[in-house]
Amino acid sequence: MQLIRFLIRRVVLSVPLLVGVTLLTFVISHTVPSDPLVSNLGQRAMSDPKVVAAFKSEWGLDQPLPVQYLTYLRNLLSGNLGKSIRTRRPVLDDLRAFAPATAELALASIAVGMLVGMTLGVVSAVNRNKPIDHVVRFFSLTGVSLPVFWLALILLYVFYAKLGWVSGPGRLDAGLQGPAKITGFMTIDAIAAGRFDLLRNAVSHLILPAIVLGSFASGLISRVTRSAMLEVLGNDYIRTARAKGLLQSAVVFKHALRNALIPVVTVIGLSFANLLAGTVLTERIFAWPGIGGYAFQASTTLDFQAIMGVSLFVGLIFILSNLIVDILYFVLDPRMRVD
Amino acid sequence: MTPIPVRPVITRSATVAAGRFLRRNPLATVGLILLAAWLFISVAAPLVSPAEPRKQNIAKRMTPPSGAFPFGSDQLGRDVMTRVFYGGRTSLPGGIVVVVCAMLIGTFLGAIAGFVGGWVDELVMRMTEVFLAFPTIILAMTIAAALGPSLINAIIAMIVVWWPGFTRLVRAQVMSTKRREYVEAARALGVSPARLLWRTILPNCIAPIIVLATTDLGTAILVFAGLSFLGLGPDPSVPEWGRMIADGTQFFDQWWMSAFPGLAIFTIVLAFNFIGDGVRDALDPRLRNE
Repeated sequence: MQLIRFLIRRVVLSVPLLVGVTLLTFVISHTVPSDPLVSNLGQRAMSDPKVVAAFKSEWGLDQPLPVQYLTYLRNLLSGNLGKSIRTRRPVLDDLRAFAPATAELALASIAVGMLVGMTLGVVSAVNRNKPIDHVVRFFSLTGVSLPVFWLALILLYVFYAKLGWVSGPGRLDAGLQGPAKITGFMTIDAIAAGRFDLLRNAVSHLILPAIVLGSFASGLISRVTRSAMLEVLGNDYIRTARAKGLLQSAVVFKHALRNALIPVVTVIGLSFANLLAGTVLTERIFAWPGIGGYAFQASTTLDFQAIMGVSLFVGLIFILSNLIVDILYFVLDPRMRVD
Repeated sequence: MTPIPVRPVITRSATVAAGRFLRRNPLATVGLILLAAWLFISVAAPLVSPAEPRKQNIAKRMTPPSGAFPFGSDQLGRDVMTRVFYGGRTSLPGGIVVVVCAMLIGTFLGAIAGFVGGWVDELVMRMTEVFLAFPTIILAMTIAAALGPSLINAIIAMIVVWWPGFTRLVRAQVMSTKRREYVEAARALGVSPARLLWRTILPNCIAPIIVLATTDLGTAILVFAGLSFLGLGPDPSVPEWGRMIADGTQFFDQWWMSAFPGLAIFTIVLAFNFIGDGVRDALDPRLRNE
């Protein structure tokens, strides 16, 4: 019951945040020196006042700014995100088309990040100040120091071009027909269609970008896991557990890790939101047809409606991942349920 | 009556403290050496570079690393090593300007919000939350694209997205510090609110701000390179690491075109992270004992 009350409060509080996100993007994208006309009309069309006027009235650019913003909000309430100037399709349709690819990539990356990051963090904390701890800390700092776009290139060069162990850019090999779209996740749809050849191909395309995106997250997660574990391992109840003669593995995983999870979950939630930012660069290199690439195209062509749609989408994901983190607090920490 | 012996005041000189810090943090030492090397290379680029950063030599384009071109040459026959060395002159000051400006803005807003409280706090924090709800690069990309691609605009875009982290941190610090007894004492002595905030409270909040700034320097250089990689940084003739990597993506087999600038970004960001980690360990009392 408490959880539900808490959730309702959080959801209500996130509404002004989302309005703030739209206002911020609107102000930034509309009060700047650059002109969407230049980005979207050719040189010849620009010199024709009739074409320019038609373009302006089609996209509402001839209205005063506050009117434009209120129109946008009103449309938003009825689920209309507007039309992309560049793709000439409703922004909502574009988001629907591009979101699954990004979601699949982001989930795969966070899985990589959690697996690698938590393992390294635990190993590092248990062996504090031993050589292996220094090695792990070195690797976790490496993870947060590598430019993703560079790591992507290096891995592509080595594992795709030279060794041929994995497939290159894109979600499937060129010429392969994707499975019938159900979830939009290539791997899941391939399983649903019983096409295990497609599944293998999709995984071989997914693995490199997932490692690239997950590397940053794994660096963050391992650092937080290490410090949280260290703090917990210093507690009296850990000494008690050891004194009882429990196995090291039981002490570490049952007694320590469970209690160290809260900060770890927080950073996983944060990394997930950051992954979406990383997708802009990663998707560009891996020709991944997702939100990141769409966001890039939208901002460079000053495609206002699309930029606002993406911002809203990303803001929503940010709020959602924070919400999930809060729910996990309830699950992980019984004290939260009492307060 | 024998006089009470006066105990000598234990002063630990800065050099001793620094030496202790370095001994305990081998990674931070490595970081400082790397950073010093990069600072030297950037400042002395015209002296240590083998060539001119903009000099083209079409006849010798895309030659692999060799004696004449230690890091190879690019698609216009420019020396990659020279451009990597000169790249530090853009990325380092760029990152520093972004973080310092963000720190000043963020500290100012956070301090006011935490100290004044009430609706001022509400207003500042709601604004901060909106900015934090954006992943850095997406907002920065939008601003940079809207302002038009250039070095200055990339830096402006990054400052706009960078301050909220500092605001949140400083606000929390100020809020916990302002309830301390010595602040109460100063207030009771009639110290003016402004003096109380900037002279009594803020200096005691400085440690975590420094830690955040140090690690942020690395991240800022990464994001700056990312913007530049996307074509939203300085114009192509300026030697800049992110841009060089972007050029390199079109020449996949000429790996040296992107490998070396990437290595440059990596080592300098690593240096800042090593240093930041060491500074955090040194300043965080929970990690200090043992």
